[in-house]
Order: sequence, then structure tokens, then C-alpha cells
Amino acid sequence: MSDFGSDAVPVYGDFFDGDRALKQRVRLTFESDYKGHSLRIDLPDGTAFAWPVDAIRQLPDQAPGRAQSYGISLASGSRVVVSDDAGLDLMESLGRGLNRPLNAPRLWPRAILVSLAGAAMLSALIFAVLPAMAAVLARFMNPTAEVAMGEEHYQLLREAFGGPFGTLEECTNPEGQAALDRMVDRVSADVDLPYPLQVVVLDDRANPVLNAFAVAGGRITFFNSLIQLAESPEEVAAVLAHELGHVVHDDPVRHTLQSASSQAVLAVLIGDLTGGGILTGVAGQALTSNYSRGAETRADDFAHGQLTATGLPPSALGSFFERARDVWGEAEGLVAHFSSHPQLAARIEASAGVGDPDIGQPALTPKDWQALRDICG
Amino acid sequence: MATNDTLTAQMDGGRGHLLALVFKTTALTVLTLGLYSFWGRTRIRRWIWSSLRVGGAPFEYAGRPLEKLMGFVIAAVIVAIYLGLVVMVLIFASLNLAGSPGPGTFAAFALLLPVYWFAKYRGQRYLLNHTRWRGIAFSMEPGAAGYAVRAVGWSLASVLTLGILVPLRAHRLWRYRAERTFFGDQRFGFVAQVRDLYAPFGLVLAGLYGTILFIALAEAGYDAASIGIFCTALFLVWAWINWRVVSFRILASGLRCGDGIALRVNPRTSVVILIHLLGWLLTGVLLVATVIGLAIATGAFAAGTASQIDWSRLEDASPYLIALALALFYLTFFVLRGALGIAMVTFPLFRHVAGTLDVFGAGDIHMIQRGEAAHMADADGFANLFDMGSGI
Repeated sequence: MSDFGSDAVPVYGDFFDGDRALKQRVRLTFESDYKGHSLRIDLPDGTAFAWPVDAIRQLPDQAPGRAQSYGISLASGSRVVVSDDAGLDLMESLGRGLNRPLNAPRLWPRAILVSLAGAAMLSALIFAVLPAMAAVLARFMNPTAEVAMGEEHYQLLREAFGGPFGTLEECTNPEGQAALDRMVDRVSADVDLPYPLQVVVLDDRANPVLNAFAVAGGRITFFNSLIQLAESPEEVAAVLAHELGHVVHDDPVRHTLQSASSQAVLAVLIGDLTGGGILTGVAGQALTSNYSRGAETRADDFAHGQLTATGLPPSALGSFFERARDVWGEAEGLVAHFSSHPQLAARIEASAGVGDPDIGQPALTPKDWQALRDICG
Repeated sequence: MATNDTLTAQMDGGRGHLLALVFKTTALTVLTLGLYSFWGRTRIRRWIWSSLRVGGAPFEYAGRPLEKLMGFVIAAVIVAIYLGLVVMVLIFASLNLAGSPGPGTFAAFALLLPVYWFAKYRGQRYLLNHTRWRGIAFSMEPGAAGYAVRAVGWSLASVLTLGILVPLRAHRLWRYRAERTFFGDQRFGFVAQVRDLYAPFGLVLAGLYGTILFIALAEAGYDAASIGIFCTALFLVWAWINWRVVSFRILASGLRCGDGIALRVNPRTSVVILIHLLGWLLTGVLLVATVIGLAIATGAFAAGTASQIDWSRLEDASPYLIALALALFYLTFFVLRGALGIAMVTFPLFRHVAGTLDVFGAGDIHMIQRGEAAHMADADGFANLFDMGSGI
């Protein structure tokens, strides 16, 4: 046994045993013997025990100050607290091993398990449960309320795409409108809806959008640029049939329900980790800005069937997509990335694979087609 | 005997050292896209707890980052399921009845309030269960659901009585929590008087009703009323802060532990206001300095890689890269703002309160024994989810 401690100035600290809130003034001595290095702790009642130096840790992240705490495990509250230079020097002399992590039961296997399970449940919620529930609820939507909702979305759409040029105007050339109505009647033949279809063309010549939308309540909106890009009335009819598919499948209402609930979930999750909310909007947008791939595929399938049934070629959908892709592809940077649909190639192929019916009546007479192209005057 | 039995408190450690820790944990949080926040928060708590000494003995925070992570995941799943389903049903109802999703969304978030109070109790319980002093842990009995119910009830009652019941609400909610709290094997008690709370809250009500009166006068066409609005609104702000400080003093000084241990705190409204003003000013300056520093560093980096920055190239950059850059910037800003708030406002506030803290009747503290093992591994999650306890 070494006499190292007894010659030196005695070093004192406070000891808490972890069982009682009793503060005991203890003498601390470094000992080295055949069992190894240890810290001998002499209690006021004359008894003594030793902590092996290997097991002693300085509690992590302590504020600098006179009191520093040391222990041998996290689970036990047993602590030595030194409050003077002599005590700090003694503890420092025990070596850098004191800064290793405090002995505590392992948590990470369980943490990984919990995290994986949590991620799986959140994905299931956002990608399966909420969409399924939205589909069920959408079927019970009151038609009058749906028309009102569609009207509101339609007005928002006009404002949003008008951008700095103001609200987009509806194109009302009577001959063009009559031609459009004839096309709508033909494409929507035998389709039963609880509300009338309302199909309009918006004048986007100031800032071409090149798209078409279906919103709730049977509202389908074409942008004039789309009609100008199409090379035949069959292509317009094909896009109309695709949008009609969204209407028939209740996609707009379902999408509203689904995106609102998904965004609320994301708002709470993301808002927490960082304490803010801007990312939420972006993430929610990325997750829900477009109809799901499933919804697009179903609308395509509907279009193929409906076009075939009305004697129009489904391949026109593919040829229009090809034309649109050339234009979208020319857009730069961010725009291109978010507008190009990852599955466009597959969709073009699918529409070609359906097989066109025998050539029958064209979608519009050449005169009507010209009138539709001139609908915005 | 009386002096020997009284323990005083203080908080050691300078803001500089805490700031160094805050910057370190913020950087790691940003670099790990938020994952490190669990470690960061734990480390900051450890620091603050260890800096508080009562009767010379430091506090210890024994919580663990992975516990917080698991708690967060579990709470996230529960809240996500609750919120997702509730929001969808309410929006469906709202679309059918009102024709727009607005009222439904509002109602859904209002329905989050009980969850918030549930989280508040669980968060406090987790903190106490992981707080030690003199080697003995505090603890709190389960009771989050009862707390949420009472909080909802008292809040509704306070609103319906135009604020008159707010002091009673504060008193009852404090008592509910205090009476479920232990230090070791000793239960806490609560002896604060509701009537003491009415004097400071009367000032708030006076300011509130005065402001409303002058607004009504202004609406009625009295031009001079705008001066009245200005004065009463300013008074209302002061009265509100004063109410928060004074009610905390009265309620916290009403805490008893076991048979004879009492505490008293005496924070000052003027000091609290000063700490807030100065703290947020310093936080703002540091934030701006950091953002400018980052911008200069980014610029220097860009200038180093390409002699001429072609901004039109930015449009060709991968949107994922741009999104990542924006996300990192966003994270830096908000995480840093929260962390600086802890160093510049929360810590000075704690230090002020600790400086006024006295523990009386401490002669028998050494008799207190360790309580029942009351650790709960995952309980902090709900609080974590709502960013409670000013982020500490």
C-alpha cells in the first residue's frame, strides 16, 4: 500500500451516497496497490471505501465553477463533489479517462428499433392510411358543397396563374365555346355525375402555363396555350378525357382532404425539431402538390377506356404528352424539375399500347377545331 | 438555528462558456439536419443544472439523448395519427358545412391544446424525474391526463368569466402539479393563497379593460382616445409581465417539501424586463453577425472555387442542392435563435431567480431518503414535440 496520500496535504470533498440526501465531508486519497489505482474515500464515521480509478467519471458538460461532480454510474446518484483547488488537482491527476462517458445501460438498440417502427408507422399513415381515408370520405361529399368548393378553388387558380398580370380571363368566343361544348358532350358520353360539368378555357397568352386542371365540382380548366400546342382536336379530347377521369374518381376532393391532413402532420413534426414553419410549407407542397402517381395512372386508364368507347384514339394522349415534354424540357432549372413527370415515358407508352379504334368521326370538324383554337379571340 | 437551517442558492459559470456550448451544439444540429438536437438539448440542460447550486451542492441532470429521441418518435407517431385523422374529418365536415376548409383547420389546432397541456405535465415530470440534488432524485406521479382535463376546464372558465378566474386557474394548476411532486421520499405541499394573486392580476384586468374602453371610444369617433389606447396598452404590457413575475414569486414561494422545508424566491419585475430586453438585443446582434459571417464565408468559398460567379448557373443547379442549402440556412437560423435565447435570456433569468432563492428549514434535509425508482424513459417526447420549457 502506498503512503502517497498520507504525506501530502489532506484533500477533502463532499460525498453523497445516493440513498440519503446526507452531505458527508470525506477525505479523498489516491491509492495504488496490487489491485490497481483507486480513490479512497474516508467517511466521517471512520469507515472507508474505494472507487476504482477506471470507473470514475467526471459528470459531462458541467458549468465551470468551484463545484465539480464525479460518479461511477448514471443510474446511481452516488457522487463526490470537490470544491477547492486541492480537490480539483487530485481528480485531475487521475487522468483523462475521467472524461469518458458515464457508465449507463445501453439504449441505442432500443432507440433504433423505436425509430424504425416510428418511421414505418408515419409512412404508413401519410402514404396509406390518410389517402385511403380520404378516398372513403370523398365518396360522401355533398355535391352542392363540392361545387361551392370547386368554385373557390377555380377562382384561386385564376389568380395564382395570372401572377403579376392579374386574374386570368375566361375565353368566351361563342363559336369556340360551342365547339368546346360539342367536344365535352362527346367525350363525357355515358358519364354520370351528381353535378354538371363546367369546362372553360383561360387566356394565358401573357404568361403561358401549358396545362389543364380539374377541380372539385366537375370544373375542368384548359389553358389556351395547351390548345395552341395541340396539333389535333383528338389531342385536346384526350387531355379532356384524362381530366374527366380525375372528376369521375373524386380526385380533387380526395386530394384536398389528403393534403390538408398531411400538411398538418408535417407542420407539427417539422415545426418541432427546429422551432419554425417555413420548411413545412415546402415539404407539404413537395409531398402533395400533384396528384399521386396512382391517381394519374387511374385517370389515364379512364381516358383510354372513355376515348375508345367514344371512337377517339387513346394514342393522342401519348402524342400530346410527347409534344408537351419537348416544351417542358426546355424550361430551365427548378421549373423543369418539378414539372417533368417522372413517369411520363411510361404513360406515353401505355397510351400507345391501348390500340386505337378504327378511324371514325374526328373529335371536331376542321371548322370547329379552328373555332376552338380562336376561342380567346 | 434559523440561519443554519437556511440554504442560499447561486448559479455559477459564465454566459461565455454556455455560449461556446450553444454554438457547438447548434453547428452539430445543423450538420446532422436536426438529429443532434436531442444531444444538444441534453448537454445544455446538464450545463444549466450543474451551474445551479443550493447550499453549495450542485444539481444534476440525468436525462439521456436517446431517451429524448425515443420519446420524440413515440409522441410524433401518436400526435401524427391523432392530428391526421382529426384534421381530415374536421376538414371534411368543414367543407360540407361551411364550404371551405378554414374552420375545420382552426378547430383541429384548437383540439391540439389538450395535447399541449398533457405534454406540459409529462415534460415537467420527465425533467423532475431526471433532476438530482445531493444524490437524490426529484420525481412526479403520473397525472398528465387529469392535468389536461383541468387545464381545459379552467381555461374555458377563465375565458367565460372575462379573465376573472385566471389567478384561480394558475393557483389550481400549480397545486395539482406541486402535490404530485416529490424530493426523494418527501411529498411537496402547496400553501400559496389565491387572494394574494388578485392584486397583481387586478392591474392586468385594469389595463385590459382600459384598453378595450379606449378602443371603443376611438371607434365612436373620439380622436383623443388614441393617446389613451397607447397609455393603457403600454400599461397592459407592463402589468402582464409584472403578473407573470409576481405570480411566479407567490406560487413558487408557496411550495413546501415534507414537514418543514419551505422556499422563497423574490424575482423583480424590472430586472426580468431588463434581462429580456438586453438578452433579445444581444441575441439579435449575434444572429445578424452569424448570418453575415456565414454569407461572407460562403462568398469567399464561391470566389475561391470560381473566379467569376455566374448567378445564372444557379438555375441549372440541382433543386435538391438548392433545397438542401435553404434547409441548412433555415435550420441554422432557427436553431441558433433558440439556442442563443437560452444563453442570453433563459440562463440570466434562472440566475436572477436563483440569486433570490432561499430554502428554509433545511436542517432535516439529510433525513430525506431516496424515493421509489420513478424513471420513465420516454416521457419527454410530448414536451419535446411542442418545444416546451423555453427550449431547455
